[in-house]
Amino acid sequence: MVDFSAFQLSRRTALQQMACGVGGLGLATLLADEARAASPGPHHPAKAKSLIFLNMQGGPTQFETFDYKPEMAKYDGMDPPVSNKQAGTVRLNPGSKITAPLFKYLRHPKSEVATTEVFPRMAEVLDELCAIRTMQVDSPAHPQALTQSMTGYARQGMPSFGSWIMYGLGSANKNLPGFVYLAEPYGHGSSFLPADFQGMPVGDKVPNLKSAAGYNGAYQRDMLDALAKVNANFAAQHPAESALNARIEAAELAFRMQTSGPEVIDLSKESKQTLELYAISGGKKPLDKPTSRALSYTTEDFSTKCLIARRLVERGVRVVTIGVGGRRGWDQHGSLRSSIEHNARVTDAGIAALITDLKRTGLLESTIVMWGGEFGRTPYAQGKDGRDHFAKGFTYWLAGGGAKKGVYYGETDETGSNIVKDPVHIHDLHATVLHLMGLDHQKLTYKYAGRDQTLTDVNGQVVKGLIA
Amino acid sequence: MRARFFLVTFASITVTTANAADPAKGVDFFEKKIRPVLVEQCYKCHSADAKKFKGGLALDTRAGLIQGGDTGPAIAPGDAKKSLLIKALKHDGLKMPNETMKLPDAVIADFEAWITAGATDPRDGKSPVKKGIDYVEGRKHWSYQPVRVPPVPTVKNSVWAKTDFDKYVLSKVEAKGLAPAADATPSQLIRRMTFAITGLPPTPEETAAFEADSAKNPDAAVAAAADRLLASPRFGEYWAVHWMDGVRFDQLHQSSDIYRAWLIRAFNSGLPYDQFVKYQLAGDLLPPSGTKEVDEDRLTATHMLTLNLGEMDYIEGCVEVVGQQFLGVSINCAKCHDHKFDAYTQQDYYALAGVFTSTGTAGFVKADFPAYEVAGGKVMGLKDVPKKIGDTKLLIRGEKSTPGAVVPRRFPLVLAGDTPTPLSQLTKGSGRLELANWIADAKNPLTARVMANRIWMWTTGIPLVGTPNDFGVVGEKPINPELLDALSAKFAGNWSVKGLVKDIVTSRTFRQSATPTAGVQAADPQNQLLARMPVRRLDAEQIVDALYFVGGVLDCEPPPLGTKLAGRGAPKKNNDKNFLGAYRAVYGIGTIPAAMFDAADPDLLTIRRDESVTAPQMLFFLNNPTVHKLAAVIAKRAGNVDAAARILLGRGLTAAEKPAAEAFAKKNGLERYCHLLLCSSEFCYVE
Repeated sequence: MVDFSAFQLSRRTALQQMACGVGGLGLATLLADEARAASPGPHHPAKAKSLIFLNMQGGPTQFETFDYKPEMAKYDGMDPPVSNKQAGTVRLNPGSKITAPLFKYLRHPKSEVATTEVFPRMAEVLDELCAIRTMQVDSPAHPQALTQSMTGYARQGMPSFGSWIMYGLGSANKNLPGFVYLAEPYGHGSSFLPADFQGMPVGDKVPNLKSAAGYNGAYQRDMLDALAKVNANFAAQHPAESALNARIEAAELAFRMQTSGPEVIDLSKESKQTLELYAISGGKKPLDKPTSRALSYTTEDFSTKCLIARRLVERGVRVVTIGVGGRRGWDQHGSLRSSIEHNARVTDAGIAALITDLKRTGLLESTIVMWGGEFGRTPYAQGKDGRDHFAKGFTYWLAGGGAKKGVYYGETDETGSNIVKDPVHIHDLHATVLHLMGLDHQKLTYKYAGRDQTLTDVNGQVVKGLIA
Repeated sequence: MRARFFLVTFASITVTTANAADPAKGVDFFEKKIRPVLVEQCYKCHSADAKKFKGGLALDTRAGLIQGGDTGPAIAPGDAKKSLLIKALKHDGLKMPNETMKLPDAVIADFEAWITAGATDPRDGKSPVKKGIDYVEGRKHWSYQPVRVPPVPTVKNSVWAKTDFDKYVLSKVEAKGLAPAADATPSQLIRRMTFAITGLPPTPEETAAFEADSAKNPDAAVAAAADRLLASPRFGEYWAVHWMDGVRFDQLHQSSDIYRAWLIRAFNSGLPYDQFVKYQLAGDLLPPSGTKEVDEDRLTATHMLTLNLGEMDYIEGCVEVVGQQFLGVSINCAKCHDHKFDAYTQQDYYALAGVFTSTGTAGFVKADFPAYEVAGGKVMGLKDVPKKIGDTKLLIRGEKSTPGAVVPRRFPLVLAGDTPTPLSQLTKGSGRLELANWIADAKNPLTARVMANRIWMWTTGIPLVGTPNDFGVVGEKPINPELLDALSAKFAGNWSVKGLVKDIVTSRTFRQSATPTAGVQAADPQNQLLARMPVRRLDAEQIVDALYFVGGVLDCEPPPLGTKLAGRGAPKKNNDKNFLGAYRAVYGIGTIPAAMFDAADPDLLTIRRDESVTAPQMLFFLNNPTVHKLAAVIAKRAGNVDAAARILLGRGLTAAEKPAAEAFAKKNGLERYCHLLLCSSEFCYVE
């Protein structure tokens, strides 16, 4: 159970004492809102209200995406530095040689951050990116690393970072869940945090969203009014049980979600220009046939998720995660060149459009867009045409929400094999994202199994160098 | 590396021999060369100012350096070579200030010179990091005291109490100048009892019979109803779920359904709790009973710990479950470092871990389940494996790469005294049987208290100790310690779960209404006085079972052993049956509606379920086609609004409610009225 602070208790008492002047259902709503707002944050003024996480599952290569490493060409075909192997963080691939980035770089006049020729649209928004080149997670294995990127812990069963944010800040939208995923369900659970903080899918996947014949339309509104009376009556008999008031409000939210859920995924009211920006044309044809180690989405699939994410954020949703339609989309152990080209085509327009669109609507200032996967890929080749998992020194980027613009953070050596300056562990990134959202990762605690649990365990430091 | 080593050694020898007034010996050297580096590079993770002592190491006092952290003393004054701090600075094994950053060689040389010269350090004071455990102090903790029945208090209201338990409650209520709540109505009480004991609602007939009995003799009515409900097979099926929550029960785990069947039998047959403990921990090691069935039951029970096989660290999982589920202590926290709050050292952890590293898992064939085919017809259980038996090594920081000294198997010192006999002297086996006997001993202060608290919580909805798995220092204190001890003493006297449940439901405390008397709410908003009963949300199993039950479609026959329900590789047809909650699949996140209603996640030890209120729950009631179907069935059976309320809410409508209900049903149909009641709070809450 959440341990409400004395302050919140006294606020609740004050509200209850106001009761005489407020009137039955109004009071119920007030109390329900209060119950929902009961959270341990914010701890300081926030720069960002929302977070969109573009989860590039499988572990995208940093070299062909956003890590500018022109010097690497010098080392192409050479043995990787010994110290890299000693670090024990990558699997040994005997005999494998350094592979310089496969594509030409694209630069932006106002940005240190570069990308490659397969991301022409991203090249236009590089001035918004703050790219971290020294990301670290504890494991170079997919399940552990993915779990850690979603929950802070390499073991299963801990709450999603989105649930922590929800626990800290509560929902800012009365008609939609505050933590939404357009991705695989894995990693979105609330674990020991209250169930209302779990991630929820929107769109067709919300269970029970559609009301049945005989129970819908005008009848449903009448029924809900009658239900509210019955429930208010029951709640009035038990004034100490705030859950009973929250339930009245939950029924109203459920009712509104029936409309707001489908509404938020209905793109028919978006302008032609917007749809063009996202490269959404109404066709579902895949651009080309993906390999098994590439994204199975079409550009349209992915762009649509990006546009829905903007619509969700616009409506006050706190956390949105976007997946890539499977767990191995960026897992290029082979077909490096063709798979990256494919993945870039699928994601380039949607992500660039999302940043442009958020900026245009003024939402980028209060929205963190975060791009990254569970780890990156080795500087050296695996087999003929692949890169292996690499957990110490890969790339994530942030855009908006109070992050710096157009800069790199952290340095790896010229071969990308070792971090030489400013390592950023996933704990540090989580701490920084919480900080931008007004939460102190050390104060955001929840008592479970005899200790004060946190998203960052006993680790993590806010990386000031990422904050504008 | 070698070259630098010689250079440094040579330099320091030169310094110490050639210059009697060694500059590295002076405070100045420390202030100019050492302190700034410590402050700048180390304090942020190892100082009181930063409120952090990573690895248990404080670098902001001399004592802290000498005491050292988890890996040992940081410095050996006079001997730079033996100083871990130098090794860490040189990235030899440990890497400091961090994995990727190394200080300049000149700075490291300063540190070497400073240590060689004796490590002069004016920063006096004790190390802020507490090392070692004060057992004398640790043993004073309330939950480690022997259970003693406290004197029964005298109370002013001499007629209210039905049992001595009630007097412990009443005296505290009276001490605040308050009065307990009035009795619940018979219909409220039978609904509360029926849900608490069987997980299901009462039928209208049962409610009517109880109301009639209560009119004649309320005490006799309650006692008879308790006996009837405790004799129902539903009791074991529902209470097994409570137990399963705390032991990582996962029905996808090989042969776990046979263990579940055993649990249900154990609760229903009234297996005494001390036996219940021994069977699960050491059923394979108990002397033969002479009855094949009993021996097989004991083997089956040992399946419990194998449920941890999916954990990253199986041994830790075993220590966690045994510690928290049976004893309410988190010894598992001492795997990597001494317990931060409780008097458990890493040695205590590995002393217990050795019992489980000495144990293997084994499959055996259970004769009376011929239909069981999963896993080659074998039940997974525990077995002592002679070649594995032995003490285990402590792992520094819990890491396999840094093994420490061998720790003899024994019980934790704070509980077992300063010099417990090592288990290797008591047995040639793993020590599981000795552990089981020690836990199941009526004199163990924790075992009875922990289970009595759970039984009270599962029955009433309010735990006496709010952290049922943690009776340690950071756990909550009992809200009524006298009541807890009285219950624990009674329980340890006969180890009867059913007996204690009956004692609780027949108490006046349990029979109170949920509506407090004047002044109680203001004086006791958290309901710590127990001057009223709580309003509880039904748990996930109860909600779905109740829906099926009122709709007359609940399938009370258990699925045949070996039946795969929802989850990996389960045939769809198996999910069409409306099995009881105990048998339904509860797996992972997103399983609707079990997870939606806060069912236990098999990955976690769920000690207390949450009672969340969410919009998706309401969408379920409003729109789920099954709910609509059930509404139609109930409407047909009920025929009128009053009968519908009796089926769904366990009570008839009041005179004030009736007109509105009838008007609604007239306008919209009885089916829709039944749906409205299914959506109502009263349907899924118990007063």
